[in-house]
Amino acid sequence: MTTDPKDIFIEEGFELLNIAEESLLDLESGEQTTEAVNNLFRVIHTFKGSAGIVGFDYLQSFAHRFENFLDEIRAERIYITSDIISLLLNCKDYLSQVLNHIKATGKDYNEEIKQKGEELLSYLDKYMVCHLETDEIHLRKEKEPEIELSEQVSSPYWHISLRFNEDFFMTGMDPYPFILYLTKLGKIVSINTLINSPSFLEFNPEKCYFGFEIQLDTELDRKAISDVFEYIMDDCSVIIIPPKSKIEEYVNLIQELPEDNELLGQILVKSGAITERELERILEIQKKGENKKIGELLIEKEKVEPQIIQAGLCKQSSIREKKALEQKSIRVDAGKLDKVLNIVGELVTITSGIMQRAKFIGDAKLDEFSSTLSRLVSDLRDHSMELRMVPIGDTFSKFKRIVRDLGKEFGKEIELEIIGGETELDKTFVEKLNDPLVHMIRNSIDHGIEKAEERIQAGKPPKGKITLKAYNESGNIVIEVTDDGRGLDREKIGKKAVEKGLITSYAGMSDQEIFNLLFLPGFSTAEKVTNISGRGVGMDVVRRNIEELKGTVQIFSEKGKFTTVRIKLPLTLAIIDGFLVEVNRENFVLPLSTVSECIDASKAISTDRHYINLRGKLLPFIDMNELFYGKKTNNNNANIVIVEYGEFPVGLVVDNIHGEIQAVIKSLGELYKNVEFFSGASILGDGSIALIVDVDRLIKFAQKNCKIC
Amino acid sequence: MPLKIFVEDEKLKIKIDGSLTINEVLNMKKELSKLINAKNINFDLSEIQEFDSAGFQLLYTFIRDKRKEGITVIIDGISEIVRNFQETYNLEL
Repeated sequence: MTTDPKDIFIEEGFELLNIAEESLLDLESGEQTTEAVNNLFRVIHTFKGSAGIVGFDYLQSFAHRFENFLDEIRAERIYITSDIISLLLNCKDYLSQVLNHIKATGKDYNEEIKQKGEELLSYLDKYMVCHLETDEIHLRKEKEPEIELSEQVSSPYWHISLRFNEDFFMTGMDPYPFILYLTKLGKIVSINTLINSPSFLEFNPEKCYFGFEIQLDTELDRKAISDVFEYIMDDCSVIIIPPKSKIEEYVNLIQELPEDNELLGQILVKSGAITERELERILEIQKKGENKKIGELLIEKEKVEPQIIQAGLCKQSSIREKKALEQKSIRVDAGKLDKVLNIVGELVTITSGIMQRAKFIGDAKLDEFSSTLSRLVSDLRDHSMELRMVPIGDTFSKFKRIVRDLGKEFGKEIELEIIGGETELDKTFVEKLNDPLVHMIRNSIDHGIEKAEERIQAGKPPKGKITLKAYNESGNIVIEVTDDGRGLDREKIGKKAVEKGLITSYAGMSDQEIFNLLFLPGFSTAEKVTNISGRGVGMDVVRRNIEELKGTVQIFSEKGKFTTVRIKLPLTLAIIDGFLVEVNRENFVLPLSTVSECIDASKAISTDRHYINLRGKLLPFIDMNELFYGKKTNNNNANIVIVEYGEFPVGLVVDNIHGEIQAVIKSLGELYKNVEFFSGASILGDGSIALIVDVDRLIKFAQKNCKIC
Repeated sequence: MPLKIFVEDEKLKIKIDGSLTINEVLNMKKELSKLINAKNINFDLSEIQEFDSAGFQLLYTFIRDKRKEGITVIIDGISEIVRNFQETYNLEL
């Protein structure tokens, strides 16, 4: 886990900005408007606070102006329009850009960034000015906020504001000794005790409803005061304001405490923390931020505790995690997980070695130990794999923005539906899936979804719909991108392919075969090349990326109704459950998920043709001896393994079957990367090497060469 | 928490002896909740030897609500420890 406050800030900053983007998109779609605005405000406010803590003043000042603008929206002085959402999205993007700049250079600005920032701020100001012109009183207020905020209160004492959690008594604590202890640090000039208990009948006497507003006269520093509460930091909130503080501190204080603002103001006046006149000012300033939630209290608290920045940031992190996920989690560097997985891989290999050796020795006790070891290692393998699994939902949510922006650009109204966001897949996949998914969504928006008029004519709702769906299917992960647009035009694709010289004729080709033409490099049916699709690289790139992940991609479509692109991926890349077979005294591994059954070859094979009769069904088969070594298998001893990938079963004739193993996949290296039929290699327990068969390619090969199907 | 409740000169008198802490507040609340019809209540807190903020909070809430209802609540006597709490918290019962 990274401990540099700046790194923590960057990481969390991105998270906050993602939440901001979601809120903006919610706002635009009209979902939970008030909640979305408040959420957005909170997020940017927290962002601003954190930026300040780690000393990125420029970033903080930009976020401050951003927040001001949001405040105007919250106060309903600026009304949300689509243009404003776009502007705010740009501001959010800008903040991401600055975060990236910090990541790269450690600084929060350069000339270019400043210039862009100024530009955005000037846009924001335009809207502010527009509404201010119609509201002159407000204009005056806006013109001098800096002066207002930098005013100081006259109180020469420290102000301590304490609120205890309701279960404070239940933890065996009492506020009394803490208050007594304060008298040892200095003189308590005034103390106001608040007992905010409900009516006696509803009141739970074991809960703590205490709060204090204390004026303390002491020569000690903030740390000495906050140390008093060090052990109960988790059970209460402590806000410490130094003598002669800026009035803004009190504005924040009043906003943050749970009590009614005016009442609290009076208490502060009574305790001498502020004067009547100062209170008026405070209430005036805070009127704009009335809806602030107590949830920000802790975060704000850190703002006044600069000495413990690091602890503060860590605490913020935990608060936000609780808020966002409401579950316990820790951050672990992905590199560390990879290391663990590598070691587990080695462990898997060595365990199968031990298993084999134990079998050879034939000692019952050793056998027992080795089987237990093997089971444990297999559990360990499964759990370490799970560590790398992340839900696809986060990636999916990012596309909301893309759909929105592109929809706007094309003048199409499109809704994005996400199904199965909780489906988990390997982190590597999630990263590498991004580009293909973007391509597919772009295609859907550009080619698939029709304009509103066209849709109405076709009897469809004017709003187009793109569905992103993820689910598990027999040891694979399936991801589908579906649009309810015009579907694929078989004729058009066929003609284009002939035109481009990719095929000679499309007559007699199945729909599936024709749709597959879309994956050929250089194919594009778009009449004009737009800036998002139609360059004829999209689907080609999609397929290449997916194949790199050992996955497959298929297209389904019905003209005028829908197009679905289905991506099928294996669960993981690193270790697979394999099925060990022997061909010509060499070992080969078939991915277990592809194996459906084994049969005795002598009974099934018809001698003169390349197919077998499986319970009345004709099945093509491949003689592995013939394919790999150029000689036919001796039928008497042979076995047939039926493998399936997609919906197409094929029989593989092998000499011997050894059964299930766990295979750690090792890549074949540069020299062999173009070798057909093999996706990698694995080291077996006895140290020998087995090639891992690429069943998908083998089946495609069978499809081409056996014409019965 | 020996609690004595009796009527004297048409006034409801409540005397709490010994301990009023987090350990006793639940029971004490039950007992006090029964006193619905009292018009005048006098508390005798002079025999409280063990006291904490939970006890303070219970008495405070009870007395606050009764006074809100227009009932006269008078504290007849107060022990040193209860007085210390009142002074430290700057809050009179």
